[in-house]
Amino acid sequence: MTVSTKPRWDIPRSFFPLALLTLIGVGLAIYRLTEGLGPTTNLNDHFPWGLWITLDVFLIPIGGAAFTTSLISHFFHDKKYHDIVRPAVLAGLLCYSLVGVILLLDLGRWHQFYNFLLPQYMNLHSFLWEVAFCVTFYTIVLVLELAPTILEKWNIEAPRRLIERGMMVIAALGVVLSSMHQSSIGSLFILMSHKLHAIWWTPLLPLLYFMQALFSGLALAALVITLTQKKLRLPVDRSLIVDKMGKLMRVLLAIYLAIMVVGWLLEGELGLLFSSGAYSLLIWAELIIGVFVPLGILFSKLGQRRDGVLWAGVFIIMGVFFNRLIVSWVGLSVPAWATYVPHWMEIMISVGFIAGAFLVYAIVARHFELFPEKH
Amino acid sequence: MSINRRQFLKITGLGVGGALLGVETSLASGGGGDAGDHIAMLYDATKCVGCHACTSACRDWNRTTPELDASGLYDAPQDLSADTWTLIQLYQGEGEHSFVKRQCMHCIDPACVSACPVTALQKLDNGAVVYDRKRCIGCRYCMIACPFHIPRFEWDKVIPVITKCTLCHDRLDFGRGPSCAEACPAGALVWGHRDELLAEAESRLAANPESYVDGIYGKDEVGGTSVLYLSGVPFEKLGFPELETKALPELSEGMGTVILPGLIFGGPLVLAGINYLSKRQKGEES
Repeated sequence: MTVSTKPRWDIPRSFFPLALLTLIGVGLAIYRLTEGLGPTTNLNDHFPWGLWITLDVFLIPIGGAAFTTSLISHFFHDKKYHDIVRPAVLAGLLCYSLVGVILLLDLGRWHQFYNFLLPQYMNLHSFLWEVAFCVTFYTIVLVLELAPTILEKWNIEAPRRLIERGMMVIAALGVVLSSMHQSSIGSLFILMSHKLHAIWWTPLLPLLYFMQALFSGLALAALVITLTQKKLRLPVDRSLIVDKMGKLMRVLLAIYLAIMVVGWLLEGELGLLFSSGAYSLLIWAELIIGVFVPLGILFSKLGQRRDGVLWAGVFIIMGVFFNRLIVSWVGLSVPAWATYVPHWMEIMISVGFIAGAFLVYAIVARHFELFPEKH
Repeated sequence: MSINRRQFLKITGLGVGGALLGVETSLASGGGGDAGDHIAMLYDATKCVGCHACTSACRDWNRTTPELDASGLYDAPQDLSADTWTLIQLYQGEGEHSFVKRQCMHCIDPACVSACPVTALQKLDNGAVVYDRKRCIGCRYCMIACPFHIPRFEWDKVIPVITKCTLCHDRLDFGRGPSCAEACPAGALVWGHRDELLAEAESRLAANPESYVDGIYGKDEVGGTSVLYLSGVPFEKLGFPELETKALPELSEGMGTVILPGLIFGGPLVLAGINYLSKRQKGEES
């Protein structure tokens, strides 16, 4: 028997606050399920959707980290992306798990959440049904994509070989399911042409949301990978971040901006960017944070440095959050007197589960091979 | 039962109707059948005296709990709520005033029915838009999607339900009218088939054009609704949104039938193509 070189209770200090927050979150979540939405949230008839839905529709595009890296690695056969599929898939899976948990807590009638899987109840016309259905099956795809990492550690060979042999089919399924639900989150709001502010409402929403998933997924992947490699003291691959991801992000971001502008031109709404009062401020803030700053970084000398690309990624992710916040919450019209500020329990439950996701990531990164030796 | 029949009609409507009559068949008008035959209500704000007989009748039939004022003596709801499915409000402007009744508009092609992921909201053959708690998961997309801001939620319940006016569909089955419409003593609220009520509204407009603002609200809004309004003051002052005449689900469902099959069938083909090309390219490089 070999003696481990690490002491048995070698738990990093940062784990304790994360674990504490997770515990608080889980406790409050149980309270929410047993007491209802009234005592635990500030949601009301004028704001039926709030913080939790905004988080859901934000975590799905950045969870696209798994989608983009797996697409480029498996189908464009890019060796550099192949090396980072595992951490990206883990990050994606954690985003989607968060979505699952937060969505369940948000459902008023959570005791029959499975109804959307029952054929006699499915509404094939509903984009929300499609999103729920795709997210569920895509989460299973992500579990399968991650499974070899876990199984190889425990030497469970037969299922691992089976999964790896079917990986192309699994990955293809993942790409198709992702394309469907990433765009359909945009389609959710097509129905609300009368409620969503005209600056953001456009029939191009599905395309815009698909693009957001591509570049914000890349941004999250770049951040997660670099931070993990630094923490684990592994060599950091500068050229992957700068020459591959940075360049791809700026192309996607430029196309995204072009589509947005075309949308405004087609509907003759370019003037709204200047004449909508507070909403004008919001769209400019969104554009500057999420598009102009990262484009500026990526097209300048800063974009030649790894940290420059990572900062661009931070801005991209903030921009997507800002956009989802407006479209799912702030930009929807409500009576002037109606108000909604998230209840502290809504915030603490969200913080708790996000802390839990960080904790799980850190534990898996410490104990499993996220960066297998290059063959 | 009626749901199964509706689905049957939808399927045969698509198949047989599509073959015989051309493409445009029953799918667009959610409930199937002719919207003119739907049960409808006409509210004439110029005749309403604000007596609240309709709201009391609604409570009686639907057994909702009164929302009392501070004295505890007067049923005084301020807005639609989980317990208040219809409401009389008062608009007061300069030199003009008007009552206005609120309830579900029972759209011909309802956004809530299109939005609901689990078909908990359905458009019945008689025109009523109804809710089934057995199906509902409480996601509240219906509340967000409704252009008239009608569905409400039991926020204070552990296991809540969505609530809204049902057009008293459980009375319609017995040949009775919506209980609010049957209770109205002023003739401000009447019920009948939608085409008859539209004709009635047109003739009132023609007979007394000076008493009304032009137009029937609900005739064309979002593809038409089963609750129709006449008013002496502009509709937007009574809180009615200005809406397009196209049914809201038309655009999104139309996009869905193009984009989704495209991704499901086109996606794997594109991936196979990319896979093949990039492999060949890599092969040439090495």
